Formats: sequence, C-alpha cells, structure tokens
Amino acid sequence: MRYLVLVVFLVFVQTSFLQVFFKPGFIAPDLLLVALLTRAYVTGRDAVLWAIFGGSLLDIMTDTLGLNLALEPLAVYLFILLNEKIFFKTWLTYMLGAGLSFLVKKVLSLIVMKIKFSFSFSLVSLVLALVVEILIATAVYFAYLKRKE
Amino acid sequence: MKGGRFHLITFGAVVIGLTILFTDLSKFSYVRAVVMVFNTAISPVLNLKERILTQTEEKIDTYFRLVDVKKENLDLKRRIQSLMLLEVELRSCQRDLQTLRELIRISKTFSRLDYAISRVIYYDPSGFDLFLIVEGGKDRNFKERDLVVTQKEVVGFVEAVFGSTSRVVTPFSANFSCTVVLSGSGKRYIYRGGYPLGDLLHVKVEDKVKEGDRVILIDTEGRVPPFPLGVVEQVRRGKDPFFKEVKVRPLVDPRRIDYLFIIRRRD
Repeated sequence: MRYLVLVVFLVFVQTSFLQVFFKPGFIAPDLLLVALLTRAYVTGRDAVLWAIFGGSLLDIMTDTLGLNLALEPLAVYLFILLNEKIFFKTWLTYMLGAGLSFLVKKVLSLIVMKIKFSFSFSLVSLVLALVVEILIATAVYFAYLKRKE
Repeated sequence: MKGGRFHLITFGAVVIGLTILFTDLSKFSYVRAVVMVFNTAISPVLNLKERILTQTEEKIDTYFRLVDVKKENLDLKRRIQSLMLLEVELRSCQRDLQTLRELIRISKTFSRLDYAISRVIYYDPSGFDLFLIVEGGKDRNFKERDLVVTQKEVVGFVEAVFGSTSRVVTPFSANFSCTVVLSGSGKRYIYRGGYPLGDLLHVKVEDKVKEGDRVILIDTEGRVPPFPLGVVEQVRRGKDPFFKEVKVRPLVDPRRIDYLFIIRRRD
C-alpha cells in the first residue's frame, strides 16, 4: 500500500513539476523508474508488474497512451536481468544497471516519439535529465538500499 | 515470478504498449468510452495536475522576469550614477563658462542674430586663401565688415560688396584685423592676418601667453557671440624689447567650406 502511494505520488510530481523544466515532457527525469528500479533491486522480478501499473498511470497522466506502458517494464526487465547475472552487489553494479535502464528508456522514448510526432528537443536537457536520474538513484542507494543490504 | 512468465509478461506489456501507441487504439469508439470513463474518474487528479503545472510555469516565468528586472535595475542605477556624474561636470562647466563670460565681459543674452546663409562660389586662385567670393551682395543686404563664420570658426569679414556677390577677406590676409581674447585671459589683443600664420599684436613681455592657447574673436559691442579664430603656434621674444612676437594659426581652412553664415552688422 505504501509503495502504491509512493508510485502515484511520484507520477504526479513527475508529470506536474518536472515537465515544466524539461521539454518535451517525456525526457524529464523519470522518478517512477528510479522507484521501480529500487523495488526491483529489493524484491526482484515482481517489480515488472509495478512497472506495468506505473507506466499505465504515467501514460494516462501525460496523454501518451502506450509509451510508458511499453518502456517502463522494458527498462525494469533489463535492470533485473543484468542484476541477476552479477553475483555481488555494490553501488557500481547497481548504478551500471540503473544507468543502462535510464539510457535505454530515454533513447527508446525519443526514437518512438520521433517516429510518431515531429518535435525538437535539446540534447543538454536530455543529458541533464539523465544526470538528475543518476544522482537521485545514487542518493536512494546510499539512503535506503545500502542499509537494506 | 518464475522463468517464462516473467519474460512473457514483459514482452506482452511492451507489445501492447507499442500497439496502443502506434495504432491510436484510444481513438476507437469502444476504447474511447473506456478511456473517457477512466478520465472522468481521475479528472480531479488531472485537473489538479494541470493547475499545478500552470502555476509552476507562471511562477518560473515570474522568477525569470524578476531576475531580468533586477538586472535592468542594476543597469539603470549605473546609468543614473553616470548621469549624476555628468550633471556635476555640467554644473562645473557652467560655472567655468560664467567665470569666462565675466572675464571677457560678454553679454549674457545675445540679441537674435541677423544672419544669412551663403555659398562659396570662388576661391583665391593664388593658393594663399586670402579671400573668398560668396554668393549674395547688395541684393541680400550684405555690408562691408559683416562677420563671416561657420558653425565652428571665423571665416573672415566681408571686404567688398558687389551686386550679387561679396568678397570675404580671410584671417590669412594682411587686410584682416580684429579684436580677440585668449582663452583663460580676459585681456584683449589685436589680431592681424598673415599667411600661413597671423600675428597677435602688442603682447607685452609679462603677459602669460603660451602655445596652444585659443584665440577667440569678440565683438567689442557684445552683439555677436565669441567665435574661435585660431590657436597660438609660436611665442618668442620680438625685436621690440617690450613686446612678444606671437604667431597664430587660423582654424579656418577656406577650401573645405561650402556654406557659411554671414552675420549682418547693425548700424
């Protein structure tokens, strides 16, 4: 239940605040994905179901039906697969998987949206969003996951 | 979640998501109805989100506008300070002007000058620029000894008036003479024209005259404002033991003048 509230809250923050600073909105830092990866790190494969739910919610809130439903589970899936292949868990292995997931999700979002719509975006914004995601993921790792370990 | 189910669910989610996105499934009537119901259910949340989005955008806009205003304020403050400095300088200049005016005893308010604009139609063929022929003569009521100037310097005096032309003698001519003062000194001297340098007559040995002093023509009756005539170029001891020999280079270059002002003398 607590996690459900957290997911809804993060989706809300992501769609209402962060999208003001990042245009187009789908390149904004993905707080939901950070939460999903944290969940996947702790509970494993079940996080994919949360990714499907969170992605759908994000789609409804941003009016891009299908985009996040497809890409959030995919990013979490990649993270879980990578995490399962690595025997030891450190910040570096966590960040490797998380960074890859963030990057894959951003790049695929751009490709998919470019196929469907015509828009311009700033590379600086994209990099900034990635950096913010990595920083938040790092903070979450040291504040929550490390203690959990 | 074990093995194949995990992969299947993920794969299914990706396929369904992309299908919805690319087929615009939400536009089909039956899907639209579902979406509308869902949207209605969460419309308060969507409204709240839109309101927050709009307010955040407005606040950010306001912030950046305020930052701009602050920068502009700083610029304006700097400009005001600079203008205040200029004002102080202007006041100082006005005081100096007042002092100078009192020193050379010129009237504060010149009566409206009666002048005509004329054009040079002929230059001195000797090359010494001793005179000019200008348009207008008796037909325009020019008289001998009328002062001829440009906006910046003295050009000469009308020496002879003909029917529709006049001959103007320049400060390079020995026939040109007038009363002048030196800048920074209230003492009057007589300037006598010469080529290429004119002379300042009867400058006493004890008078403080130095090279670079400006020579200003003045009207002893105070009807015409002072006009710059030349610059002191040489100061040396003359043959006469009581007077200095002061050479003045006139400012005017007659061959550069096309139009000039003829200030009519009032009798």
